[in-house]
Amino acid sequence: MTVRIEGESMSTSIRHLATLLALWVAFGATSFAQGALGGISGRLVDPNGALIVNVDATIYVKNTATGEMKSVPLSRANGEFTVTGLKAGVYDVNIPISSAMYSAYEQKSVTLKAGQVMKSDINIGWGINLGTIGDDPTMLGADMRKRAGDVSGPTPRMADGKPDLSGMWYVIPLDRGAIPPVPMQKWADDMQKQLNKINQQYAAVYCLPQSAVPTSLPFPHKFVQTKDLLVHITEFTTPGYRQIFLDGRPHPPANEWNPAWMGHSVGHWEGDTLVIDTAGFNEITQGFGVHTEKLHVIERISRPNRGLLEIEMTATDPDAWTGTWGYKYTAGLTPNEEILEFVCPENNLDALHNGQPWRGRP
Amino acid sequence: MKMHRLRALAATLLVAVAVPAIAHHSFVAQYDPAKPATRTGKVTKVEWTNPHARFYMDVAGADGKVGNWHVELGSPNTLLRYAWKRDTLKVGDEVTVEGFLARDGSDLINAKTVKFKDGREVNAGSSADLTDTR
Repeated sequence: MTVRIEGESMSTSIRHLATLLALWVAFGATSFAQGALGGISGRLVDPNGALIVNVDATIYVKNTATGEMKSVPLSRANGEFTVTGLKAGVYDVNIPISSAMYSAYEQKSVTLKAGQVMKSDINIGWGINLGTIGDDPTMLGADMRKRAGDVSGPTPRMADGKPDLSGMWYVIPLDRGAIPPVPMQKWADDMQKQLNKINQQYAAVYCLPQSAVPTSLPFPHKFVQTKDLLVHITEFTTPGYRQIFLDGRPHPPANEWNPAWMGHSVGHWEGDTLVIDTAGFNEITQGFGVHTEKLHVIERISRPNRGLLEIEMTATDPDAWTGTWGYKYTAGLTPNEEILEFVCPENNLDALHNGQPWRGRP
Repeated sequence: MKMHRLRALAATLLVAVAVPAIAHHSFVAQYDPAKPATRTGKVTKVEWTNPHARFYMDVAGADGKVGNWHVELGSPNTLLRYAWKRDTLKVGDEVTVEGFLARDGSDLINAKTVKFKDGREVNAGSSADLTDTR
């Protein structure tokens, strides 16, 4: 294998190690003179050993000391990538992939010497979809945004001057980056491990709601905003809607509220940011791992221009977690799309093949 | 083989634990990525239903016996957005399916590509890819 970087040609050997979680380190190094620039190049390989082609992926390489980030796209044609011009240092490598067939890849603290070129076959784990025809929501989102055309323009506003979040949206997964682990207390962590073992926590197989915060799902969703109410319509997940009250009402008293999959949402404006406060969840709602009815979620949503939503989600649960959990993500406007009906239990045979009823707790 | 399963399971769990970014469900839970397979047959039934479209086809086994295989696709909503039409696949069509077999050993396959006798091929790619093949 020959790599050409900085006008030099060199042969490199390829070696890599897999862990059960398909995280890899791979090295094949050639040193140059002090101060020479190096690089990281390679290919992505699936667990069956096949080269991954025809997917959109971006390779992000971040210098941990300077914070400097370089990114290159994976070649759709030959599945190769090359990041050049890297100084000696320690790098974090992140590869989010626009296909639910594959897991995102992350490798922290890769040390690159001066002039060193790393070349590796990076083993990517299976995602959740296996390339099933028409069942890759990540790819669907990318397609929808491509069809969206020009979505530039200023932030649309309501009569009272507040931003209008109305529109069809789709989360942009490449912007989401790696999602941090939930900081669970021991009992919750133990229970999560039990759930993982029985693999019955996956509510979606049973047509149950897939997330308490549906903006984060890789599905089409729509905001319809009025002065006092924001209606959130979500496809591919039950119940398919949530109401966010903007009229100043508080959450209902705990003894007058049946804990719910989507909780109870109220919103208020802080400048041009809508702050959605959701409480009243049940203990089996999805997307947050093991939690209690004390789960409390804040979404801060802004629309800096016509085509983009910026969302910061933070969640706490004092009875189950040791701290705050959350992350930021963005959604792109997809004005040429509409919500389509999705009645999941219509012909859901998948649950039969799982052989067990769903359980939210072990 | 066992390694593949473990790794696949680990990948599933990584996604399933506390991450709201999920598709309708995990195909890895139901299908075995270590069992890629190809089946050719004649379509006997098409179910354009939620959460997933499905079709059935008669497939001749190595012993000459014909079995009715069940082929799982994505949701009708997504297929439509990928430029499928309700009549893209019809009863009587002869097709070759590439995909992964079910873990439970039943005559069930998850389709990555469907090839028609006339050379058309539909796969998991983007709508642009689909358009190119028709």
